[in-house]
Amino acid sequence: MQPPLLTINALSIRYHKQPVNAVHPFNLQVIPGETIGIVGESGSGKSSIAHAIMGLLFDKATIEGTIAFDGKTLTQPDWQALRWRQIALVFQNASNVLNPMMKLADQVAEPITTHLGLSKSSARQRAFQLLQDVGLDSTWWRAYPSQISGGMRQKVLIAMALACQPKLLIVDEPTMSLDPAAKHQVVALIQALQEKYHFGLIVISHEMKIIQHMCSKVYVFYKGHHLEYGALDDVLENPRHPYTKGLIGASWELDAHRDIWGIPASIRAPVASGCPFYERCFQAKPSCTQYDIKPLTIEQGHSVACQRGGIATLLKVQALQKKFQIRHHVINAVSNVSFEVKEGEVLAIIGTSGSGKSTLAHLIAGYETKDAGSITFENSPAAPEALMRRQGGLQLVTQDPAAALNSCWRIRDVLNEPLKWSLNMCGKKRHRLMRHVLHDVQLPSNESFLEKQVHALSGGEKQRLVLARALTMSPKLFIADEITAMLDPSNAANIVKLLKAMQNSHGFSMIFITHDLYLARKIADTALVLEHGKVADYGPGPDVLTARQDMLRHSPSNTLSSIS
Amino acid sequence: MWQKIVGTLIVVLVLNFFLPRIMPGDPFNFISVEEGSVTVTLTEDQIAHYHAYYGMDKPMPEQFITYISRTLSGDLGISIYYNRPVSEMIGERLIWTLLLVIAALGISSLFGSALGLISAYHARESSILDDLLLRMMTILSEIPDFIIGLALLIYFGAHLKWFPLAGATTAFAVYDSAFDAFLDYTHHAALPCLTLSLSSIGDFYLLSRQSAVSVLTEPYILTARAKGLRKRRLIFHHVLANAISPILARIFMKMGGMLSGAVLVEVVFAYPGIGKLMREAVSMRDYVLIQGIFFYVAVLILIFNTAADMIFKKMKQRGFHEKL
Ligand SMILES: Nc1ncnc2c1ncn2[C@@H]1O[C@H](COP(=O)(O)OP(=O)(O)OP(=O)(O)O)[C@@H](O)[C@H]1O
Ligand code: SF4
Ligand SMILES: [Mg+2]
Repeated sequence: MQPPLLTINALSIRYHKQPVNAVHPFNLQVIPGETIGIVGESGSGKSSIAHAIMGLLFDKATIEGTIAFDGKTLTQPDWQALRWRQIALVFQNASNVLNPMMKLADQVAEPITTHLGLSKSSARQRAFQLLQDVGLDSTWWRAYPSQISGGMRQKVLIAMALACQPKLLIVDEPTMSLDPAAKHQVVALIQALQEKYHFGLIVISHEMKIIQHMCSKVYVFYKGHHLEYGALDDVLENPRHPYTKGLIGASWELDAHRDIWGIPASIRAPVASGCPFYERCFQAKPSCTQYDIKPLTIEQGHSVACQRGGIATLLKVQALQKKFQIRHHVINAVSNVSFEVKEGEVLAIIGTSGSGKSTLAHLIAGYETKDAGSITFENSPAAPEALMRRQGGLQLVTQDPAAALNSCWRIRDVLNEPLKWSLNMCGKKRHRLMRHVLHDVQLPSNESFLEKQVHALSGGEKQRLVLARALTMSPKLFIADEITAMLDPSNAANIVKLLKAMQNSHGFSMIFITHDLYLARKIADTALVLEHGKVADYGPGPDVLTARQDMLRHSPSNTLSSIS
Repeated sequence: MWQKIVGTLIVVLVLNFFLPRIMPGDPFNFISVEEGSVTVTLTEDQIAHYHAYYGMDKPMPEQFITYISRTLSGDLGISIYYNRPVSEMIGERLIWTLLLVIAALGISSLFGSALGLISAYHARESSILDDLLLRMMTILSEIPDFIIGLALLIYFGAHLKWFPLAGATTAFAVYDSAFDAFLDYTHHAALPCLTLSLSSIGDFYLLSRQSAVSVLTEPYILTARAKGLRKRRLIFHHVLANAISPILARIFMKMGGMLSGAVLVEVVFAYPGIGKLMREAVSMRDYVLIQGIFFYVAVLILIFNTAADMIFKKMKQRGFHEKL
């Protein structure tokens, strides 16, 4: 391996007069000619890292740790010789990032005269060449910054950064606020320039798509913490941190068919210590508040900063078998089915009628007993009965809400029932929870509604009520078995949207059983195709669903077409 | 913009006509009670004669029309007291005042802005230099100019005897060369000019410091620093280039204020500028002279303010974001 161009060791940044670090200790490495990506939401400290690498923070922040460039550990005076000459930065594009009183070409030429000692006129010639390289029309070369558009400014910023042919180039949000065509252009431009000049490249972005296009390794940051590191493909295909998974889920550009779901702002009350992502994590445990987060080591390859070692497996099904005997016929309803459901994951199980989908669901929920195989929930053998009765267990909702509800019960009783016999919850608390879940499923929660009897509800309302009842148990795994089958398309679409929204905001995992490929595509992380009781296909949602286009011919309805 | 200028001019003309006439007293009583030993007493007849001579027996509207038409044709009339053409008198004196004002403006804006810039550059690290300068300049800008003038006069003029106490030239001097003349003028102008400079240096300092401090927090300054430019280039091409526009505009706006400051200072130093002339005119109730001076000063201020306006406009076109 080549010696690294840039090595950052346990670097931390705290701005003066700020109570907490903007960036917590982290490690980073760039090899000559390689492209790494730093990704994270706004405020995760990406620009701060860029400025620290440029040595621009000494007067406003306390910096700890070391930065080594070309094998030499840098001290403050060293930067004077490196800035722009060796390490250059394409600043985050903002209105006043260029000097409003200086012509564009002059701003590009300026570092050339300073660092390369060229005469004014030859520096200017070179600036023109660079501006031409980045594709800025020559009419603008002598313009002032206020006279050009944001996209043009981006080009000028790139040309300016390349003025002295640096060995390391940092680009901060190169595509922010650009339209898709311009984005594409800028990405291609930077790549072409890298091809030409062979600089090491650090791409900073909050868009996974940009990182995916440009980088071979990726660093995921959140609130100044380095949470995940790995080769791009590893991280994209198999994200290990819940936050990374959330970022990927929030990037609609990665999969055009899927609905986007942002990372929920908060799932639970925040805590002062422990894991920084605790508040928003779908798989947090109480022990996470004690987690002592340490800088990730780059040498390890794909690594993650999580108390639970990354996204955990919630349900593991292995070699599951179920036979039914009807007289002399033996029907292999489920044969040798294995799969797993991770925390926060939506698994779509797709199959035609009679392919064994519901039997599989019933086996997991304990409605049927398995002939062979194993089911483990949170790493211990599952006792379905107990799981259904406890908070944080599993809940099953089926296609026929009427069958699941006693039609002469009052709504209050329906919701009270699981709470009463599975938990000792006081009346007041129960009432609050009841209102809460009704609100979640978008049903009224006033007294008169609670007094209504079930048979007074429409089909859609009944299905919502069943969902609400399941929600009172705060399940970790939600099995939805063709829940839209008996609803009209518009109601079905609304229920699916609602369910996915709840899944996202509560952070539970879900097995979504359907025969509708379109539906599955919208919400699934992973997909499993069942044919005659056997697994015909299993893998990441987009792959499986694209591979099984043939099933579209068989799927009768397109339930989501009515979503407004 | 031209509408504004013409409007202002009309207001100036109208005020200029009525204000002196509202003041109590009659100019001819002042001629008659001349200070000093010689007493010239004018009889009622003589006063009436003078009134007629200066058209002051005519009805107001007629006086007004005469006044306007004469002023616009450049004839400011004959001084009542000195009996000389007003334009000529003003011309003689204005040179001296402009000399003072321009020199003082140059000095105070140059040094004020330079100090402000230095101060701002150090302001980030809460430095003693910045702190000290800021305090000094704030105090300085609060002291009235005639007090500064008196202090300088007493110390450097009367006590140390480095500078003459009064006048713009040595009386009856014959100069061997232009350089000698220049030295003499400078010597006389030094203290009044210093007074005016000191009285407005604080203003320029504060303005340039504030302007530079806000420029220094701009993203393009970080860009410039990242580019590893030399300090001089950074300060002149990036900080000053962006901080200077309000200072330039202020120089012109300040001219007006400085003219009125000069009036007091000239009195303190008995400097034969337009300020001193003004004082003489007022104490003699010399309407014609007062009007002439007012008119000149108003037109000058108008010109300077228009120039300031134009600079601001120009800056806006360049995309300078006004922060003041
Ligand atoms: N000069 C500063 N003084 C104090 N705090 C700062 C300063 N600059 C940034 N911060 C803080 O540091 C944190 C990280 O900011 P930074 O600009 O590095 O984030 P970012 O990841 O680049 O965000 P974005 O995607 O919005 O550009 C933020 O909480 C921000 O408020
Ligand atoms: S599981 Fe715990 S440590 Fe891991 S990301 Fe979630 S809250 Fe943080
Ligand atoms: Mg940023």
